[in-house]
Amino acid sequence: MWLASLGLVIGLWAAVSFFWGVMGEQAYRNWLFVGTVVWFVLATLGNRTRT
Amino acid sequence: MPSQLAELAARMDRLHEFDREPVHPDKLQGAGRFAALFAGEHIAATEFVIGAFFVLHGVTARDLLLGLLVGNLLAVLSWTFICCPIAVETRLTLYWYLRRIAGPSLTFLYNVANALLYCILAGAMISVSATAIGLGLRIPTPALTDFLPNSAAWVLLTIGLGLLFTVLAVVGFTAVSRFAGVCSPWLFMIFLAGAIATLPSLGVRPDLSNLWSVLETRVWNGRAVAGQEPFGFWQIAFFAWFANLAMHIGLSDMALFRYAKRWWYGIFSATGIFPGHYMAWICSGLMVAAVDRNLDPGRMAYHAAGLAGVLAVAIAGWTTANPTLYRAGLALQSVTPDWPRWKLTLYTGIVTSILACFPVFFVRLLDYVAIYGLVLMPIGAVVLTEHWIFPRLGIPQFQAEREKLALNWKVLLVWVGSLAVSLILPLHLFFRWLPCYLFAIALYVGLNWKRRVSQ
Repeated sequence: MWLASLGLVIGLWAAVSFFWGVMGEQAYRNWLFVGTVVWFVLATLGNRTRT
Repeated sequence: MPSQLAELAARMDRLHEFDREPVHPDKLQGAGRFAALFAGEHIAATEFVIGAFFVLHGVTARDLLLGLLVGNLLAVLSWTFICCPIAVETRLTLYWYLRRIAGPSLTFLYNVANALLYCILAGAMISVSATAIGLGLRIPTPALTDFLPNSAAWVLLTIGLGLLFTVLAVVGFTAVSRFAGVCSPWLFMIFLAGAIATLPSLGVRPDLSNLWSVLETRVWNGRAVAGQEPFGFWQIAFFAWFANLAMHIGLSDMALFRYAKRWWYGIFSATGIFPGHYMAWICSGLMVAAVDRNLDPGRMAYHAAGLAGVLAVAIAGWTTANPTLYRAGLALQSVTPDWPRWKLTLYTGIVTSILACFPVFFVRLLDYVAIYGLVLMPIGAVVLTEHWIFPRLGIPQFQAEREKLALNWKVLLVWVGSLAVSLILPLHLFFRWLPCYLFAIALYVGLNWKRRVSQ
């Protein structure tokens, strides 16, 4: 689950970068989606490993 | 009729048989378990709507921040000083403790009322998900004034989505529950990321120098939209307090806290309440302000977080409707004991899907949450009185159990009487539960006062 947190960090990093103007809107949305995929893949794998 | 009710109650007893005995000491859980349990809850689809409604009701930024702080603190204190101590002292679920106090028939009626309220809540969650799917299909979300479905497409969408959620709950309730646990931290991230990303469109500078002024003028600016009643500090504080009234003051969460090692573990509810009912509500307020105060969760989330936001709304509705459908089915299983669980969940889901078509439960969500807590609150007042006040007054406890009553009419009278008083109280709906709660305690003591004298 800790590794999956990387997906959350990616999402928040994208939002903060967009807010500061160092990332465009579409790039922010794409990175947020990437973070979402990373979170779900790693969190689901982590969950399965534990059970 | 009384014998039929007793038979139904006996069936319900059989369903709850597995947790009839108090929790054994070796099953008790530590503090970390409760902190994690609450942290994983309290981000539901409805958070997208509730926080947005506060903006529409024209609350000011100061009233919102202070009101949510005070209200959520009161909610945490209610778990800490009322719900958890009673659960730890009894080690029972509300179901079995209430049965000793009110009798099996009244416990049955309580469960059926709970099931119906759960169905409506699940319907509202399906409606929220439908706004996300409808965005892609270009189906307009009902307006705030719509009580009935606004189009055939909305009816088809909500029924279709409701049936899909129902089938998924039937075939894989456990898998969906596990998936919901995975979703919770991600949902919180989407709320936070979406709120941060809407700040530039609201005019907030990158150095945050004008943040407070933007919040005061463009988000929580004290001006209610047409048709919405203005809210102030007290409405916000009371709403945050009673948003989970059935769980803390109403004592439903005895089912969780009966496993707590210490009486004060209710304090860990803060790990869920403050992210879910503070941060998430603030975030959804920012999101609705960025779409010209247009309450459409799907559109709000898409504007703030793109496709990930739309997914969040759809998934939040699904994962929170899933356990709600399950609980409603469980509560109704006693009525049809020969039916398998899948059949009951299916029928509950069909009813819920039909309810989801009606936007009234979604566009009047704040009022519904108030009514939900109000309806179940008198039972919490009765249990608190019986547990703590009766021993101090010398009134014997557990009359129904001692006298083998199927229905303790005094509890029924308190329940119905408190609700009748709440109907006529000349107060805002949000404030009614507190005087009614005190009235319920006083009435229950009054009705049992003679028993004290006779002892």
